[in-house]
Amino acid sequence: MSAEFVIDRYGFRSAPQARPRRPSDIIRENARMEKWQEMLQRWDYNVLRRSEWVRRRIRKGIPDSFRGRVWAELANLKQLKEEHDAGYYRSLAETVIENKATRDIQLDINRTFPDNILFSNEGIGQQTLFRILKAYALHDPEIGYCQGMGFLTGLFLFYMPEEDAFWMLIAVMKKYEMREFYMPGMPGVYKAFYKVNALIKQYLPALFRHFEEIGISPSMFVPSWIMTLYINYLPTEVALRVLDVFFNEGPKILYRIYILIFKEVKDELVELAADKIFNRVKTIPDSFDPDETIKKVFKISLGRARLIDIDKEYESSRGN
Amino acid sequence: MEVDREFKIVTLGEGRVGKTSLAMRYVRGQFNEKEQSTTNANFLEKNIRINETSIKLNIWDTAGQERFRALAPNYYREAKGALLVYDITDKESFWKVVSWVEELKMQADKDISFVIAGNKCDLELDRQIPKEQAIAYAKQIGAAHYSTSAKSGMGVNECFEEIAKLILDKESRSGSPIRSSKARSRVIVKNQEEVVKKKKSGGCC
Repeated sequence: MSAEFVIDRYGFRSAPQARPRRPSDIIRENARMEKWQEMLQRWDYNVLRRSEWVRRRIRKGIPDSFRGRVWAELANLKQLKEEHDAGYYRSLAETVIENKATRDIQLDINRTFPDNILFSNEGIGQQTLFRILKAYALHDPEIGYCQGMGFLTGLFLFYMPEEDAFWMLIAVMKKYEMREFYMPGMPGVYKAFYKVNALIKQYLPALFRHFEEIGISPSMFVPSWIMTLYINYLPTEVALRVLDVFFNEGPKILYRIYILIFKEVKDELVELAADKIFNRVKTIPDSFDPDETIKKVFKISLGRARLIDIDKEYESSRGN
Repeated sequence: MEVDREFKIVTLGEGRVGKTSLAMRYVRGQFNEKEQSTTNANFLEKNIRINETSIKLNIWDTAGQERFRALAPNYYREAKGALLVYDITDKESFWKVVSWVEELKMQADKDISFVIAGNKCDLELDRQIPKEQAIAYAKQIGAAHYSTSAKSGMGVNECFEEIAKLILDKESRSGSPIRSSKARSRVIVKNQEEVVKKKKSGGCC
């Protein structure tokens, strides 16, 4: 009864027809790996991260075999580790504790990537995930554990060892400012609601009006798209490319993608009723090609200044 | 199909009690043993007929974890019905239902109808909440109680249809369908401050 499936390179069960890799893909990946190899030998966080050349390379996609290492460099895990005692992670991971956070983690752990062979059974994957999330909850008790964090951590575990995945989670929360999305009251989510509404109104006015008429908000997908960095929504390969850019350039890419998703199907969506929109939304990125998506997303002209303006507008709307 | 009424209802309850599974079972007739945890509210529709009235149910299936409660007012605002779900094998999840009822009484539409679903009845041996206790509580707040299993399908249609019946009853007693159907299905994401302000003004007396 169950359909045929294969395990893709990330460990997800997927349909066998999912975009086979062509020989040319492999040749190109190898060529890129050589360039990256060379670049990483003289990597210096403060110099190269800001260079135009690195930015272009990263937008073309970090080769899978270097991804974990490059993410760690971009997030500057080295510095983060230096700010803490050497055995910091170990001591947190080995702490035996039962509280609200650990109970929540335990109950959620088999609902994180149930389709991925790394996490689908009560094996090493789930145990590792548990240890990291518990350690994070101890490190940052105000946040503790919140749904969504498991997906971020799980993805990091595809690419890096346990301890680095822990530091990566801290970096995403702190340096990349995702912490406010997970904080009690979710102020970051509300801020993103406002931002997305303003952007869709500006970039896709007809769609915005349609959404208004049928009584749903274009920002409704913030908790699943932005909060989990699209990991659960975009095809894995596309999500990874978005993350590459995110770790180098910051959160702007998250809003560009939000606009792009709707832009791709705007003419179709304006004809649909609310429930049909929710159904359609689930499948929009199925056809997204990683290279094409990154190309298209940077054709949307969105300046940093505009985002700052919207944030200011939001702050003043709250303070009135 | 001609629709006489459109009702917005919302599923609420602790995380992983089975809100998504109940909604999916009801609308799609499907059950997924490995449902992912929900971070985003989902929207589902179902057309049903109660006596002579055809009704479209707009179901907002919300994320349950405590933290996501901050977003819930966006979904229950203007809802006419709420399905409050707990897991019969988890005592805490029942107390969560009680706290939702308190919150909805203060914040939601004053005519909102409640149905309580004790889900995962296929796990009867692990039951932690005596059925009588749950039924007595439901009675006390004027709600109906159903024993459900999204896995087997037991009680699923009944609990959703009960919500529709309760809303219809309230309408006929008050003598008029309340507002236009369109207004009822609106979900507009407001910013947090507005929600907080509302809370204050609602709770002061």
